[in-house]
Amino acid sequence: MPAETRGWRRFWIAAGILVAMLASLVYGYLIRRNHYFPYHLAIRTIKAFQPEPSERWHLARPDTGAGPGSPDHVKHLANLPYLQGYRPATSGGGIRAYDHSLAQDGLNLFVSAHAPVATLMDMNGTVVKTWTSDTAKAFPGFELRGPNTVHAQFFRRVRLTPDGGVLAIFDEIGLVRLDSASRIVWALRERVHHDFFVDERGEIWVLTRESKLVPDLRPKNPVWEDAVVEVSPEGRVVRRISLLEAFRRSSYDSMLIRMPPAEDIFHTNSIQVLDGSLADRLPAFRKGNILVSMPRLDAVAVLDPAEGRIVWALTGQWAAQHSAHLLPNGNLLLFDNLGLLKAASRVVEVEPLTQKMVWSYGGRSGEELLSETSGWVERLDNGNTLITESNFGRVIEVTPDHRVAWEFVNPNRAGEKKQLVATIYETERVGRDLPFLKDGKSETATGAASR
Amino acid sequence: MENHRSRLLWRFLLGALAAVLLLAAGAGWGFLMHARGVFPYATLKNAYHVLRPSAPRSAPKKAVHQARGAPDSIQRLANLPYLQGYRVASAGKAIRVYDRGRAANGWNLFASGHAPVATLMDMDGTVVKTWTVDAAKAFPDGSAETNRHARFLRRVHLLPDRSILALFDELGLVHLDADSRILWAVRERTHHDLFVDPTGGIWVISRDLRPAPELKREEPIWEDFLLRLSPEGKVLGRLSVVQSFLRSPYAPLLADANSSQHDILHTNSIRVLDGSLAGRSPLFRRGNLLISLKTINTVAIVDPDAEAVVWALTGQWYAQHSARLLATGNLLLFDNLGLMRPASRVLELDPFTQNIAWSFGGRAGEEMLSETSGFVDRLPNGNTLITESNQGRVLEVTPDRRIVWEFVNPNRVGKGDDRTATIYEMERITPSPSMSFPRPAGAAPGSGSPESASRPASP
Repeated sequence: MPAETRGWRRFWIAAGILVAMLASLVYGYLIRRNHYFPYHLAIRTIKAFQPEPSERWHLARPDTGAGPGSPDHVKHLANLPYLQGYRPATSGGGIRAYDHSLAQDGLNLFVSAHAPVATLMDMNGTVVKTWTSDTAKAFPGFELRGPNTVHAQFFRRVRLTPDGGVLAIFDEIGLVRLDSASRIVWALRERVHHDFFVDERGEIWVLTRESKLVPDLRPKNPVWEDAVVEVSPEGRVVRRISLLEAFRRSSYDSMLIRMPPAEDIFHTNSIQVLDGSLADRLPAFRKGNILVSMPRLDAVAVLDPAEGRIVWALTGQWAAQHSAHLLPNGNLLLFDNLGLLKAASRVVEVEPLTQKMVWSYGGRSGEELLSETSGWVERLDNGNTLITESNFGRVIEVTPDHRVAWEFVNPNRAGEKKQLVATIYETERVGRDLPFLKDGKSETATGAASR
Repeated sequence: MENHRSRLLWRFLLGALAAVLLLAAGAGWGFLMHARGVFPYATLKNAYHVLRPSAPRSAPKKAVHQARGAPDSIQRLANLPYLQGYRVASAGKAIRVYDRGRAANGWNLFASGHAPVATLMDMDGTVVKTWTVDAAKAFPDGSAETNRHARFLRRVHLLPDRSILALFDELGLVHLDADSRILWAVRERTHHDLFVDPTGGIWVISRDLRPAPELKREEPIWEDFLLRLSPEGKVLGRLSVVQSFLRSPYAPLLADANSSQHDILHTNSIRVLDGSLAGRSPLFRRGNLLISLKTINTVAIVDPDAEAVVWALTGQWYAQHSARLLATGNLLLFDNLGLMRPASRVLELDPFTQNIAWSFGGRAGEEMLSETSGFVDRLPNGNTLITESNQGRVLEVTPDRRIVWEFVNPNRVGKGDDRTATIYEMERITPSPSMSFPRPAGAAPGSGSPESASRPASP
């Protein structure tokens, strides 16, 4: 072979390699950008080797003596993955602080993500009563697959019923009505999630979702369409109001620009049916209208269920928020997960018309609070605020002047060294005068707190 | 022979393995380019930004169908670049409608995209006076020659002594006397809007490109500033809008700004509050600044002393312009695309209850579309003067939404003068005895500019 030809051959081989590499570079880019083959295959394979843990756990906040960790520690923790932890926790569970003169007396109803159990606990940490259920019994024949195998491991939200039972949500699976002895009264199979509200007539207003292709919103990929569903006290679906349609029918339509590119465009996470006591402040707050929180839009909104239309919405001073409620004083109270734009959460009370921030807790020194997701807050009768810092499994009651009157850390632990603490989605303070407790039969053992 | 064949086979296998590894490595690298932005991602992206054509190949036509647009397509409309003209011109008179009984009397001051000229025109369409300026003379540093914004004035403001403040987009602010002589010029990256307070102090919006590590952005941002100028054109203060947000509880609104956009705020209007509404809310105290931020669809009030945002609202509009507070305490603005279809509207709403008190646009007979720009003003008689900028059209509507005056820009731009020149904004000036203008003989709208002198302005 003449040297000249060999030179050309080498040139062409080199050029071919270069072009092939360039093409593969472009193709690799497109694998990530457009999810070309073998993107999904790879994701599935990776997932198969990393089985998702059931239930919901978070690395427990280390004990530095007095209370929660230093801000640096919190920031460090914020960067840890959710459900895995490697360091031993030294913090113990149970009641960490209780100032009898400052705290609001009552009983604490909470759900802990270690098991499908609702716990009623007194202020000293003694379990008064528990309710439990099982998706296999509540939804016979319903096959658990994918994320639902996790969702079946705990209640996402519970509320007491007057007869001593509870209503409970299995996330994405359904709503169950349990009697006082945890017997299933009825079960409703719906993709319920996050929260529900029982109005004065006993009607249940629950959040649901459905995967749907909405071509003029997003031409190719389906979105999760959140809805408010009215359920009768007997567990029958009465009506269904699409929150997506409600936005698109309203003058707040353009807020949809804030949707993330993900499937879960709203992630609606709290619901409150308004009682009309604030209607004179704003017609949008009239009786029967529904306040919802949409963290993916960073917005809270009021739905007129009769018209199926959003009539009021507000955003600006919070991000990824949870648990939005209008208080009797007309202010809006919510758990602002990430509005400080750093690894710190806060609770804000805002006048909804002037947007004036009336009160807040968190983000100051000595007020460490962080739950990147979830979180719950409610105002108590004595003016204190009960805050559930969900991911750390911690609940605090704070006074208007920011003193901690009561503190509870979930004693339910997992991991070889008990370094993981179970999430507490929300805690509600209820009065002691519950009719079903009058017969003196108070369970003192074997509930959540002792496991 | 056998040996040779197996050697060939080995060579082939090794070659194939090398090829596969090479391709896999290439693909892996490409994957990381997208996932982590590894080299040469930034280089290619910057090259793209440099090479990308800055203007669309063809200007969009007026939308015939009013179907709802997907958010993506609406977003594209909101990001049209500034052009001297957008729409194919139609023949017809400049003044299309004039109901003398209902229209507010006055002079109309406007800037048109065909030339760097400010025009004062009476209600019948006769030009009363023009001011004109050559950007190359105002900014002798040569910046005007390379800047396409030198060809028109973005915003003009008439002062009591018949002088004019004229804003060149990205170039600077010029003060012209009644005879168009340059009194002073400030070379700043000014844009969109200016406001003159009762003491003669001037506020103007400007911007600068800078890296923004505190916003966790790899690419630089356009940081908007509110500049305070003395009546003599001296820069007295410079207030960062980005910092004002970061210093306030409204910082989460900054996180919403599209991460691929350098222009994270696009501040496009500024008004200094006169304090007449301070009794209604301390937010409206004298000296506070009302601004409109297009990228984050937000109207905000800035306290210039605290250099912090004290109030902000978003929700019922998209890519808005021209936000102002009315004597009633309501907010008036031009909502370019809040209907989420190719249609604009003007909104008047209560800033606290968010109740829409009045609107024009979006209904049958109220066709209006300016994807970008747009201007609105409330007149003393209660009518509303609306500049539909990209159509080069201005209309005055009554509270019951009747059009009582309509003007279409007779000035043409583009190849073969086929397009109506943009009107960025029109203001109605109430005639006063102190301000009088000798009428130039035989003038037509826009004829004051050196460029348009050779072009017949009226069709």
